[in-house]
Amino acid sequence: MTPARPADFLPLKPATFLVLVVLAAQELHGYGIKKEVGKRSAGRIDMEPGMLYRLMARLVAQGIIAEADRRQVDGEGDERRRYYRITDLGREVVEAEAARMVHLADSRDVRDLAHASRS
Amino acid sequence: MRHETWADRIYAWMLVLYPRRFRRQYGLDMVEMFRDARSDCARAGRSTFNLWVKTIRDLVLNASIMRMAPFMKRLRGVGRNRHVGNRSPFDARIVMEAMLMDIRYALRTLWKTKGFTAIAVLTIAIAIAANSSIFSVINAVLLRPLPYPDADRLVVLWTQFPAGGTTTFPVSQAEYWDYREESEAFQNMGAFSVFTATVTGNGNPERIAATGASATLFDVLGFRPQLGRVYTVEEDFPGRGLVAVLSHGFWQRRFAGDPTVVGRTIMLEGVSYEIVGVMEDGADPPGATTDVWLPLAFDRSQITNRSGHWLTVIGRLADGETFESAFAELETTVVRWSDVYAGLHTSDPVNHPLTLVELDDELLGGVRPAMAVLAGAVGLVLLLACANVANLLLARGQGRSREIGVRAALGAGRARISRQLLTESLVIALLGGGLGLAAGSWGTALLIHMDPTGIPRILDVGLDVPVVVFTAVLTLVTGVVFGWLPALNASRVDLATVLSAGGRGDSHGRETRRTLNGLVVCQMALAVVLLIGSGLLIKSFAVLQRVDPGFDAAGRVAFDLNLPGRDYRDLDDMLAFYDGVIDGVEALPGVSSVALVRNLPLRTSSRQEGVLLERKTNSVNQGSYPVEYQAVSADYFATMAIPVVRGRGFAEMDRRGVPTVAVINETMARTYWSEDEDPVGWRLRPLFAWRDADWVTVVGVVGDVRHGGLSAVTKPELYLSMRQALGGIGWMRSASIVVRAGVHPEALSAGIRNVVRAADENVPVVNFQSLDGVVTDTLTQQRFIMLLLALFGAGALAIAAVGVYGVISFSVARRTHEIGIRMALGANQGDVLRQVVSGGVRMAGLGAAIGVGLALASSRVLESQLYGVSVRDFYVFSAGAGVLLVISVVASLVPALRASRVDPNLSLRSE
Repeated sequence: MTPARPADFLPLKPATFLVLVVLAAQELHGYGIKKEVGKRSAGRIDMEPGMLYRLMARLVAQGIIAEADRRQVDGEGDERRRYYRITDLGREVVEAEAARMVHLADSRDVRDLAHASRS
Repeated sequence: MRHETWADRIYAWMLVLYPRRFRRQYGLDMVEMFRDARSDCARAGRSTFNLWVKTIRDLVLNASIMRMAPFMKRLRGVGRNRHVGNRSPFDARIVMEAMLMDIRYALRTLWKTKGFTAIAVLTIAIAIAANSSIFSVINAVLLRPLPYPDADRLVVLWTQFPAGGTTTFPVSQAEYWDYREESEAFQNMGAFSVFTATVTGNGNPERIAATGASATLFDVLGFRPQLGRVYTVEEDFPGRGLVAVLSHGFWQRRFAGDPTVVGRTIMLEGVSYEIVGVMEDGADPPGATTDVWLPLAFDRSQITNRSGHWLTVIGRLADGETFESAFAELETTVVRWSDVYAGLHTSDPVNHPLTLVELDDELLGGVRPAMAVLAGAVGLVLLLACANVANLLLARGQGRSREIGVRAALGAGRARISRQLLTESLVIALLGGGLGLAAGSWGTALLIHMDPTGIPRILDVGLDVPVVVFTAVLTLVTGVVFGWLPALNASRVDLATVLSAGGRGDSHGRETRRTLNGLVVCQMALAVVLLIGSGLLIKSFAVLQRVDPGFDAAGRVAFDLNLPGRDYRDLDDMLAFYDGVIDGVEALPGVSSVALVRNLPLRTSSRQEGVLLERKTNSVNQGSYPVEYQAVSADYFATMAIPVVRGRGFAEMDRRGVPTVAVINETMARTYWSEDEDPVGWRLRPLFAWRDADWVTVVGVVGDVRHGGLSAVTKPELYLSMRQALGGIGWMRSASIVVRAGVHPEALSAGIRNVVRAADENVPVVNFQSLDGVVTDTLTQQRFIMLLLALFGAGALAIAAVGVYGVISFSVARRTHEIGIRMALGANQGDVLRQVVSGGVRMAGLGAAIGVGLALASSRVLESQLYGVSVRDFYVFSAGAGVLLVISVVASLVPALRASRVDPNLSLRSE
């Protein structure tokens, strides 16, 4: 089997992309990921447990994320919680996706369209 | 460490729907995540209903995707294999053929046992129909998104008066404007208030619903005009705002959809407005309907008062903001205001806070508990039906053990036999589901026909794609639920026993009997839960009906009058008209007394305002005490038989020019004065009188009236004489007249209409109704839920009775031989009868005990629906269990009698 290349995974679905963006910044547990993704999407992507962990299972299987060694951050944390971190491959994937999106959006007519929808 | 609660356990239990490997790996984390979401809800003080809906939707969706995944992969694999020319054991064609064969065979066997099939299909159909209709309602009322783009970003602002128990109350102009200017959490904010207005010119005069709305509201709600334009922020200003936007319905009704209407004028309350646009269809202010939109047109710089609460304010959250962040911002705003506007009836965190409610909670939060109860009840009915059909199938499987044994002997594997039996169950379920869907759409029509007023969006209920999908999924799940146990059981045949013992497999039979009995016990338990639930609601309804509204409704009628502002410009005009009507009606034969009231109890909601109490005012709470404010004629208390407890009521001498007096209700006396103080003689000053009104003297205390509903908490209420009414000239333009008469109310209708027409032919008599009718109308929603639950309870009881009857008959039929031997050995009819019936009663007793336990654990969900009844009411619980016991005695008596007539000779010879 040939090792996976980042480009094989593109384009990412919005939820997947946001999860990777969130994990690229910090290691987090399930509910933390849900909240961060909710915040970044202005509440539009609401990940319930089934959707989230199905995605986690797939991303782990693809080697894009992995379970973090750490299971507890502070006194409040529950040791049963599983934390996730992004892998090197995952980082390459999210970087490639981010670059793809920036490239797509980086033209005057796209910016005009976006502006028109806001006003 | 947080505690594991019932909710977590239920969710953990529901995770069995996921494949085992996934569940083992992530189950604990998922429960943890659900718990986090729940505690966040609790912290924000929100109901977990939405969370449950979302979580269950997530569960069903993702679990089915994961369960389907291997199958889909296999199907894809099949396609690839065929392409290469390989024949896989999972060839789709073979699978399909086997399935069709199973279905054909199932239809044939079901057709052979028509009686059994009919009962099973009907049971499932009834349960599916009930579920389908309740889901139709829940879907339309709760699940369908609100008709605004990104409705989940909309938030309502309310003010609160904790001292008077008011948690959501309209906002004042100053509060709205300042909050709109200062808040950064909102992208935009709008305000509105709905009132009635008379439209004149081109056509008959007509009372219509008008909405004063800020120009920003259209943007907040995402409403666009169908014709012309909406008014601008610049037009939404005093002196510039004589513009109107018509609603789609009003445009169709009054202008016959004339496209040239834009630019013409419309006369409202004698004032001419230019029509600038027509709104798109379905664009109504949240929670209300309107015929025309007008600018609020106020100028913040002219407003010095922070009082006068009459606006509903709706905001759209800015990007990146959440409900929680907006709430936090609001809290700091209120603290700042209490400092900046001290002494100006300002908002403050303790006595006059502001609060935010998500729009869907605001509009739908009230009906969620009732809907949850109904959903739970129909769910129980479905479980019951499943248990019942499973029973029938099990019993039938017993009779078929020989056939199954033969098939097994011929080489059919267990899986093959189970699949065949499961197919039969699915066919039954599908037949029942189809029938149920049809009956369900009829049931839905019936639900709407019962007209539960007060349930928002009930008229949108109907059969649509989500309802059909829900019913289809439910049907399949039902088929599997009631089919798997019998299928498993029947496929576990022991060839030797079955084929040698003449089809009466014994050890296996005993086990089946135990399963049968277990299922009947389950049915009993579920039936008891439903019986107790409906019993509690019935009792609560009975209590509500006996609640004293605080006035005597018998022999009284009421009607409303609305005076056009153009003809009635001051209070004297209005009083002259009202006096004319009161005198005229009083002169009608049979009428004993007539009175006027501004807000008719149980029908017109009260206006709530603050008053200052002399000697109680201090700087801490700025002396603002909230009261419900009323104006009545001198004869009101006598006409309604509201007792004057202390001091005096109003008299004709309480008119303009003499010092203003007030009468208060007992709740106000109790709330704002201590027990050793007599409120009579105290003085107060209403904050709503914008003129420099004198202090008002309290002259009497009257009994409480349940103004807001029979189950509502009575609030402090302040009565003024209609001749000394304060608080805006327009306010007295609407009023109700109460008539006490010794004759039948309907007989008065024509006379009253004549009197009013003689006083002013432009004023119609509206809402003519007996006061008994007014009282009954407030119970519509309770009656609706009670009737439905009673219906489900009765259905459950019937299904459970059939279950007992079936199982006892079955066991009697199987034991004919044994009973014959007993009777041959000297047992008499009574012994046999007793033995058989006691078998039924034992099951019922166990079922009732389990049911009572379940009901004790779960009846708390009914709490919000109950009034004056404990959720653990002893009598209701005993009655529920008792009814079940009686029914099961009756149901087992029939087969018992049959058993007792067994002729030993015949039964032994049949060997």
